[in-house]
Amino acid sequence: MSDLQRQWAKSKLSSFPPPPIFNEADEDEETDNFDTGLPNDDDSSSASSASSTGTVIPSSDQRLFARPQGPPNKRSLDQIPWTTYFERELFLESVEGNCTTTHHAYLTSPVGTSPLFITHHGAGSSGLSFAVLTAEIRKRLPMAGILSIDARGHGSTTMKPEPETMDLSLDTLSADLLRVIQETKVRMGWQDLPPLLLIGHSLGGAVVTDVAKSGKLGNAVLGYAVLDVVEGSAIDALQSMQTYLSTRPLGFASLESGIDWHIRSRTIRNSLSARTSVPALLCYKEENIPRPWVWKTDLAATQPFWEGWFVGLSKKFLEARGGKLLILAGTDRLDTELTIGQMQGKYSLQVLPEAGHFLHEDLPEKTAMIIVDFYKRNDRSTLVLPPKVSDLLRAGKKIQITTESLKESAASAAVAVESYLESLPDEPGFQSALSDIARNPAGLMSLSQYLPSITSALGEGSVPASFFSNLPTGQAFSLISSVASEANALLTAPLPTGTGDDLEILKGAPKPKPRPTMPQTDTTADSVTGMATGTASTSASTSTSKAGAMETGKAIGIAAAAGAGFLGFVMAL
Amino acid sequence: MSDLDKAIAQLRACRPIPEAQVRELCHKARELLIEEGNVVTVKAPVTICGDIHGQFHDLMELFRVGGDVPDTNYLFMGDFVDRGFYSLESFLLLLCLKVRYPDRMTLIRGNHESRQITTVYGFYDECLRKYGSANVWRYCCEVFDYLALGAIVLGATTQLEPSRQPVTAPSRSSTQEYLDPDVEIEVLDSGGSIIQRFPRANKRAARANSPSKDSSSPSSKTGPPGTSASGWTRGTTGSTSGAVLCVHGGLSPLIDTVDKIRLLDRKQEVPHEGAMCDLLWSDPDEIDGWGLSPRGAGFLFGADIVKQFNHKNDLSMIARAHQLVMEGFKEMFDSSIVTVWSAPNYCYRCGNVAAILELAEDGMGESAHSRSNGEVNRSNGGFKKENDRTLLAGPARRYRVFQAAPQDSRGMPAKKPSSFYFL
Repeated sequence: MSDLQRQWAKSKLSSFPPPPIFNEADEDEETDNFDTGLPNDDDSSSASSASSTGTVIPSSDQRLFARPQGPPNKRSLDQIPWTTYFERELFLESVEGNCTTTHHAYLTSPVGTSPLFITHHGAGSSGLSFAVLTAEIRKRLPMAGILSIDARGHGSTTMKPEPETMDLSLDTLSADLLRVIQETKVRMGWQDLPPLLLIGHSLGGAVVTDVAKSGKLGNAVLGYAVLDVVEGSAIDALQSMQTYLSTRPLGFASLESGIDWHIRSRTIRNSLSARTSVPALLCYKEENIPRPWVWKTDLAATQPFWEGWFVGLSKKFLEARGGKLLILAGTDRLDTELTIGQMQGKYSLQVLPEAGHFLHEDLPEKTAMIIVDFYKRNDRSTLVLPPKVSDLLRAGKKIQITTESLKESAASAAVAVESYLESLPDEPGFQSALSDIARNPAGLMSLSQYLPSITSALGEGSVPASFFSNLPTGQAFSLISSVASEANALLTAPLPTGTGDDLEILKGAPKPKPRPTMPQTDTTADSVTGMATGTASTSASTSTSKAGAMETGKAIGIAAAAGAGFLGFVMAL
Repeated sequence: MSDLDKAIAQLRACRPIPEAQVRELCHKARELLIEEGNVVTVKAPVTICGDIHGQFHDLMELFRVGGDVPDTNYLFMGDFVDRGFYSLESFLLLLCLKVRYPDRMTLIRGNHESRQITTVYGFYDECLRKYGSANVWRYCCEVFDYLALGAIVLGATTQLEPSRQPVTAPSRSSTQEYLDPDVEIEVLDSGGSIIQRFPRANKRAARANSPSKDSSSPSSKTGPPGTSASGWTRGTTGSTSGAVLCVHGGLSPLIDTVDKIRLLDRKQEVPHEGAMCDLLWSDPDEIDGWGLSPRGAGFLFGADIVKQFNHKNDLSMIARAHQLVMEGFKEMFDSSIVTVWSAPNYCYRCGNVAAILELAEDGMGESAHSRSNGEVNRSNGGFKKENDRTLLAGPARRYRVFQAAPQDSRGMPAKKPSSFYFL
């Protein structure tokens, strides 16, 4: 984070109630120096999350050399209520036969055209499993919405009368998820579904993949993310599941001891997550005293459904429409189908070797970064793919036939570009770059084509001085690629003669001359990234005005893209 | 026998060399690589290879099939490390060979030659396991930063001649038997027998009625039993200059001439976006123009982009790796781009065959190397005069398809048991 962002974040956060203590360092069992009284800088958590693998980066508030005074601070095991994370909870009733199911879900509504992240937990977990993750997502996308559901038999979803055997088949769970999404839409009075990102952990991954593959949410689904589940290895692991389940305690003396068990057994390697999500897994049953807190979901009883959850998952994952993200806690979990798919570049894979199975609870910050980045790449509202070269060629050929039509379209494009340029503040590099592109007829037309989206995204044409660093990736990309494909088209389509003169009149700009380079743009590009130097200075090797325009256009593109680099790291495969 | 030759012998036996020697080797390699441009010019004959991914025994099989170094010139298009169990030995052997025979080995960078990726996908752990410290990994990563980003192969012949050094005695007779100057593509199995051949596109129509051709349908699967080799190919119909650009991933919207690659500052970790990232991450796809890559880095690019690029840069084709192809190689977009994959049975379980691509030397002086290095006609912005085109044919290509080395020749570390909570 830059200092500026940090300042901004601090000023934002100060208007909120004090945040829950968030320090992943306390996953470390040995160092019990966790001081609950001190608010922690969020940045320290990313550094210290790696502490299990080696380096511990001391932060100033840890008082490394202070003598212990009195008893060491006891780790807090207090539960954290859901209200810390979500705006509201929903109870959505549905009736099947004589059974009424009240689906329970946590919701934070999206603002404007922001996306809604829909999360489905794994077997035996609850909607609060994603609470800390969603807080991290909303730190990065403050307008984003979250809908985290409790599946039937889990969390606060209830059924009356309670069936003797819970139907937890994949089809039922998928239908439940769809129903909750539709009911939420009705309850919240949304006209259309917001852009959706489906996130599922474990069993939930199978459910969201099934929903994505069914296509029942239509075009609303931008993408889906599956957390730590792969068909092949899941089915292999099922054999040892009963053994695992038998080693779990049957009940706990208190909620705190339940939370403590999850942390100590390293089931959840982040105390904040454990304090948030574990209370929803347990319920109080007096007859079980002295260990009255027992599991809400009897996992052993769900065994008949296990295989059905995962069979065909890999195939569905590769075939469903939308962006695909798989986050795993280890590469050894990939099965053959997904290994092939990954090496053919069919989806994005992220691996978090430091995390356990509940990777979104263990490393909420990293997971959120990956998911936000995934959203940004798949966000259709900012992304404008470049025009197809074949279309451009076709268009180019038509224009070539009559110079009249060329003049006409160039004139209208010039007006659009002109007015846009006027609305820009005096950002010399960008101004001259744009006018350079505009001097070329095809560049002009392509530019006018993109202006509406650029302008609207920048908000009423008022562009801040920090234009370059604030340009979102999508727009940077559209700029780059429009100019790039433009250049491609130009270089193959023969140009009509006399074009330059026509444009000179239209633009009132000097006749384009071969220009060695664009000093302004170079400076901007250099200041952002060293890489741009090479590209921008390539202008020297080209001599036509067409190529000159293209060079400069790219230099802006690169500068903008580099500026957008803070958006997070992509290490996806 | 020099230290280097000793190191090569030791690595060929799949035994790691001491840390001090690795350090020295990496130092020498860096001195060598720093002198290379971002795009290395390579003269045919050369054998182009795709991903290796630490499958050391399959790399040995590759050398057996393709001919040993220094008798054969090799160009490896990156992804030497990760996933396989012998990333260290594979990469160090290639590096030793590079230092020993600098003009006969060309190594370019793949997306796995990066600190970030190798920490996740195995190379880092392997170094740690074999040396007890991350030093060797660190030395190797420094070498990664100096690897070239691409290569241009010049002087490849347009006519297929029988291999100069057949792998086995019987193959000599079989290749000579089929000597045919009109053949553009020939696919051989690991023993050197011909699986498939394709004539020149412009001659194909004239020869359509000729019964003498042994295979004419590109889609027919005629591989020997068990290889499942087919290799989808069609004759070149695009630009026909003879130069081949080799890059690990593909093209970038920021790169429209080979010159632009030359101007990048490559001595860094692979960035998350930008031209250098795209070159190592992008994939060709059946789309128009550019598209989002599902990988999360790089782009997808369509036939139009490839043809524009080849045309503008006077290339006859692009050779790249990066994507697993079950048949070992795959030509796309009227043979304007080919994917070469050289890791058979990838990850020891994907069941694919591997391939290498041989481009033979032009003995007739007909190829276009004198002017096809991507800098042609700079003075007029890359426009080619109409009469410059169509004179030259694309390079003749001989693919050798091979399978994984026998299982018993490798001691495979036991797989980590995955006993975790999966609900």
